[in-house]
Amino acid sequence: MEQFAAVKRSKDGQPVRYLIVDDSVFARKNLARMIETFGGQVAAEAGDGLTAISEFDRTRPDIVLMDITMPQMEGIEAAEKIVQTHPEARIVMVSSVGYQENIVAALQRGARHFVQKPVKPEVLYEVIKYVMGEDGAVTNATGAGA
Amino acid sequence: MKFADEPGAELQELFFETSAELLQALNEETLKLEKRPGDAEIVRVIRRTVHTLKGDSAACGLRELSELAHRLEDALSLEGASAHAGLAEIAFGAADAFAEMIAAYQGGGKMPATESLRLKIQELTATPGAKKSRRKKAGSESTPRARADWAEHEKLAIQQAQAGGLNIYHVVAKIDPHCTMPIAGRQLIHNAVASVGRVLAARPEANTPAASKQVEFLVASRQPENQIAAKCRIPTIASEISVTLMPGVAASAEKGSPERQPLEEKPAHTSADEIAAENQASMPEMSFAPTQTENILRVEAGRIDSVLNLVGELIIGKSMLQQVLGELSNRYPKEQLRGRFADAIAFQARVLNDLQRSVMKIRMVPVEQLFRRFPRMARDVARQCGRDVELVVTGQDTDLDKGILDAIAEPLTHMVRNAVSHGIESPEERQRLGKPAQGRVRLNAYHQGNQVIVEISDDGRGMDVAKIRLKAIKLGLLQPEEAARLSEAEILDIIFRPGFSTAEQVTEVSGRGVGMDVVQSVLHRLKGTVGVQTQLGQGTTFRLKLPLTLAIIQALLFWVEQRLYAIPLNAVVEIARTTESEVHQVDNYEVLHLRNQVLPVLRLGQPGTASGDGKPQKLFVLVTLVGEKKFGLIVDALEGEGELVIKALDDRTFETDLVSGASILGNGRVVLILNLPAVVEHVASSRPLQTGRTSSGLLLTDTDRTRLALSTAGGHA
Repeated sequence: MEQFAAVKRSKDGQPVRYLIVDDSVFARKNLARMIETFGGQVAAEAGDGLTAISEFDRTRPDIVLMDITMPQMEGIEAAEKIVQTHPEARIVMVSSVGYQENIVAALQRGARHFVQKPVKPEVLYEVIKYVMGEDGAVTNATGAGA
Repeated sequence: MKFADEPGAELQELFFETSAELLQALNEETLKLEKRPGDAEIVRVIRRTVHTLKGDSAACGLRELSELAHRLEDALSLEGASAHAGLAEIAFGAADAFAEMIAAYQGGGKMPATESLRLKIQELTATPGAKKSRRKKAGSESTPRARADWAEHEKLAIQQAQAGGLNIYHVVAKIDPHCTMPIAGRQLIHNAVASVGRVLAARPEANTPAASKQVEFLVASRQPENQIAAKCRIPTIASEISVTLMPGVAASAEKGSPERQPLEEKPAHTSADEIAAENQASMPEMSFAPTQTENILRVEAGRIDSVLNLVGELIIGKSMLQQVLGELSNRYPKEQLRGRFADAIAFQARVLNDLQRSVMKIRMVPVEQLFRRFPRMARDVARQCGRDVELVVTGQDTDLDKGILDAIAEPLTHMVRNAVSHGIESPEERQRLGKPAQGRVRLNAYHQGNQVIVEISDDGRGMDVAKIRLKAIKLGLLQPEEAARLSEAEILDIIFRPGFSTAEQVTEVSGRGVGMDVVQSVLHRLKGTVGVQTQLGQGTTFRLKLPLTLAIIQALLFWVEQRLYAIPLNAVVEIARTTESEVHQVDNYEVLHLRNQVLPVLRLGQPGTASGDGKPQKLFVLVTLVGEKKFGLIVDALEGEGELVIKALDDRTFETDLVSGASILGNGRVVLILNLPAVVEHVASSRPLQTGRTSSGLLLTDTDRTRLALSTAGGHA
């Protein structure tokens, strides 16, 4: 896999922590491998919206990668709930093209960005940098993952 | 629309429509470039056009096209590109390639080969001294253009925000053409803008095709503009951002009219001389702007036609009412209500008139739509034939029915080709003759009464009547003794006959099997005419006379053997009365002496049928003009003039071309509209008359016996 200059948290130089929400284990693994190449760290994973909310409360990640279609609670609703209690949450919606309307809805409810499935690493990387903004810093050290 | 169900099909349709305009602009600008090689400003305009094409096609997922356009755009943005001598040639080639690609997308055909073009584009980039231009290095790839103007309430909000000490920024963000979810992207940009200030206005509306290309916001903010731009520069969504500070609007609002008026603004870029220049230069209507399209409705032509058809029915209704009024007046001359009835009818007639005119106006388009494609074509033809020709186009604003415009496109193309390739002499020959080396072909259009005239004239060699005469004899179109008798104008008419071509050889350029006979048949179908004037060594002028509309004509109605017929009023130059004794027999034809002129006449009925006695019979002669020729039409009686709504006749029941249509009068009577050129043609070709025989035998039984006779002092072509 490609290597990217690691994105660290600018306040403490620690890896950016992620919550990956997707009902597909494969998709979660795929995203996890990607963010490791960005020098990030998977704080938690969730397979449905309800778990996503509780995992967010528990781990307080820097970024949430949120799928849209999931059992129990859909990604939009989960995103909305999280933003209500944590306005600072950085949620990036992950979805295929057909769900454009849902993405618009999620963006209106506080999601920060979106990436399209299948996720391209270089795209996700740019999105992460943008979403982290001043709270993220690109370091010269290579990522932790392979 | 075959992809109507797919998402984006609407967008694609829109692209196909707008891309034609872009290509046209590309061709026009390239023509200019050819005249002024190396003009950096023109190259800039060309590049911008290519850029728009690239963006639009990418948004529609037309990859090959956007990729090629991208290459060309890149090559054009190199410094030194504008100095490249072959640039116009490459741009022309690209325009053609783009057009072929679009045609392939539309028709599902094969993609054109573009290798040689790509090589040429590459050469452009390899030009010594070519380097990335300053603007490129500055990092802003191409500044998105500002297009919106703001509504009243938005202006009000702007003023209020400014009064509150906020800066108003105009943010224009171009959505990355590769972004597959432009609507979500728009929302994201909206969010980003909203995060730096208060959004006062947004353009265009969400969910319009245009919204997937570029969005504009007015935002009231306290932050500096570079911060706003940074916030809006969203990876994979929007990389091209322009943020401009709007000056105080109080002043401009005062002097401004209450209508929508674009607010003045000046780009606030620091390093932005060039960008400012570009913004100004980008104002012409090179590509469709959302604010313009909002006021334009695209309607299927069929819908307008059905409205026009209903208007036609109303006109019939009007004449029915007038008929009734006439009878009422006769029957009850003292009835008080009569006057009010007449007023009501007159009022209705006036409104109906306006209605008809407005509906017809919908169908009208300026001939420019057709004319604009000729400069490029004339240039190409001139090149192929080694001619130096300037095409001068005038009267582009003349309006013409869209259906007619479409119908004459091909004939006119043919005639322009002919004028360039055969009309104009080679530069050497022209110089030898003392003419300027550059030939001139003029295309002109204007209104004349109820007609539109389109003229194609050249200052070339003209046509040699003697040669035409010889050739016509050789081809067996004329008998030698007949040929000797014909006047020049009549000889010239032969070029419109099938199988006649004066071109020495069939060339790729003009010998496409479309001859002047096709031109004439199209014109006949449109109830128009084509005439030609030529002067050996001076040039040739073709004049197309076209009706304003296909649906309604002003007609003269007359009786022949108790049947009612009509001919277009335009064609009638004079109505004369004469007696049977003035009609003379020459050969097998009849002629009339009218004020010392000899006029060939056609008889629609049998001689002497109207009254059987031996008295010299009074005849009506309609002197008509078909093309450049006059001839007389002998009829029994006149009915008057009227407005006829043409109803097409079914080909299966009506096998004649002598009648071009029918109409229904207010009293329910059916009138046949004669196709004058065909009537003349019929006689000219000396075939035995086979006039239409309806299957019912109702309409034309008498015309089976119609004597259409023609004669001239010198026959007729």
